Amino acid sequence: MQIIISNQSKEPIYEQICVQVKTQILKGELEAGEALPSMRQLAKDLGISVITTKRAYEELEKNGFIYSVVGKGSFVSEQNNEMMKERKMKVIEEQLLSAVENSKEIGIPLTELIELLTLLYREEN
Amino acid sequence: MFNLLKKDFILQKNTMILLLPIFILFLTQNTSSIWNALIFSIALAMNAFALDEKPQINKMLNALPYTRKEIVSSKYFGTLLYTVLVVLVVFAWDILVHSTFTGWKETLLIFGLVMLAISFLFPFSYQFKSQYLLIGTLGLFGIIMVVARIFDLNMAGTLMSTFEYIVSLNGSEILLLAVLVSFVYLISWAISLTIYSRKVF
Amino acid sequence: MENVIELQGVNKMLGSFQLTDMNLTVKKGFITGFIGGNGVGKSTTIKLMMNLLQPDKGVVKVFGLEYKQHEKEIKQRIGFVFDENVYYEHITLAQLRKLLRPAYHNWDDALFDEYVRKFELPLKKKIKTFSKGMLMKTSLTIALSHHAELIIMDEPTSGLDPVFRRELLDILQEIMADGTKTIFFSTHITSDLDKIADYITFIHNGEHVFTKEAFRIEEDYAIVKGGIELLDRDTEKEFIGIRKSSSGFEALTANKKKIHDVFGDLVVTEKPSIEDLMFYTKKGAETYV
Repeated sequence: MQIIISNQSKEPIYEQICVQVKTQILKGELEAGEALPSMRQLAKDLGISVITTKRAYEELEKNGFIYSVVGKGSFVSEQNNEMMKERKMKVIEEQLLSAVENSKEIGIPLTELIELLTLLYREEN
Repeated sequence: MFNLLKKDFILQKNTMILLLPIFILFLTQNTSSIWNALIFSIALAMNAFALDEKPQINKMLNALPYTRKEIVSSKYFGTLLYTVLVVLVVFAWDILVHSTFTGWKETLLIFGLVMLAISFLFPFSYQFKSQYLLIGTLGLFGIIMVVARIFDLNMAGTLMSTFEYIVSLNGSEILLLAVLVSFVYLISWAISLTIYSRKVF
Repeated sequence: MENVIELQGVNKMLGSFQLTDMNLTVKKGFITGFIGGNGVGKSTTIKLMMNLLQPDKGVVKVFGLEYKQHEKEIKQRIGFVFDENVYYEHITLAQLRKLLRPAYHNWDDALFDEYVRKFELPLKKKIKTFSKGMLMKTSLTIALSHHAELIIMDEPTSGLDPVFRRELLDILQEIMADGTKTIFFSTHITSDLDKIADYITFIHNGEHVFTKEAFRIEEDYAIVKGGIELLDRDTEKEFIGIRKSSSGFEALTANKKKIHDVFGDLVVTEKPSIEDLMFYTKKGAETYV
């Protein structure tokens, strides 16, 4: 598992770890069932505090990317497609909501917004 | 506590080896062996005390699994042990050189005098600093010895006659004195404990 | 989570200095950095934790035990590192081992040899010739050799060069690797050691200010910079300490979110260092006195 920490970054260290592990899981670089280094080992390797790696692992576990077995350590979860879809949907919903709010602020009607969305959607393809 | 005594012995080993020939030299001078034994016992006891006197050392001793009670008590036990060692040398000397046995009264006298002296020296040193006391006391002993020898003063003689007087006392009187001295020693111990338990390192 | 050290309502008068109503806990299995300026009570607190001092009021518990009944038992399980040489100077490390070995039930000679080799400590040289770094390694070797569960360090980094400070970091993290040990260290130079601290305990003027997970500090606290016209009696209340100059102000807040709500983009916020915390807390205390 490759992790690079920047001390200058505005992003908190635990988040940097989360993002990088997530990316590696989603890209398939870390496979389901694969063991992650222990929190203490990772902390030592990165020269950061144990509580920081603990927080990162807890966050990853909460989001279903990893699971832990008492006394054995942490492992990459089976990535459930349904669950991933659900999570993505939630993100899309949030993003659309802010688009709607912004539209309302400057008075763009729904029809125009749909038009814009359609245009953008087709352009991507 | 045994460990603390052992510690002092290890630390004093070299000093003791160094002092042994000097002690024997003193014994050959035909001065009172009681007097010599007294000086050397006190010197060893006070040296053991001085080794642990620095605040840093006290910090360490108190951080180790020892209680303050044990730290102080080890010095009082140590004193008796050093006196035993010195007395053993005197015994050996008397047997080998004079082919006599050191009398039990003389032996008790040595212990009594060491205990009395330490009863004052330890609490004083816990309260103040032993450094000056040690130098001062040893210096004083030295001067008395030298002056007494040069001018053939009766200082030593008076002392000797006091020693002789005590030695001439009968059994029950000596027992009474021994109890008295032990009592003083115990009081001194308690005072040292109180002083030491209030110390801040 | 289990507490290795607990101070409950501890008061201690020492001359003109006073610790007031100290309540603090040290968590098992973590590194806690004990931070505060010079003379705010760090050493006194550490001495209370080690029974070098007794509290006037309140309770000190180590491993859940009190010194009054369990002094030796507690000390058996503590390793210590002081900011000065506390060992006999005229003896060698080999001799020192002989003096200390009988004191501990769990003394492990093989482990001692292992660390002496690893730290490249000379067994035959007198302790008085040891450098600050070597003394620190000596103390750690002793602590590890008797399987100390709690290692208390008073100002371990003062007087160490940066290279050794980095080395120490590695050593400490290695000690922590199995999760059974707890480290508590005090410092007023916070540089690199705060990187590995899991918890930060901050005291000021003899009082406990906070104990937090280290990452919370950058989440809750912020250095705020902005124009002087933004400050008035109300907004100044949001800050712990403020430094004003003709070109603007710089201040420390303990409520980063609120500052964002109040000032929005009018101010710039930055991650505070632990030195910033100490500086502004002191400044704030001075202003309100």
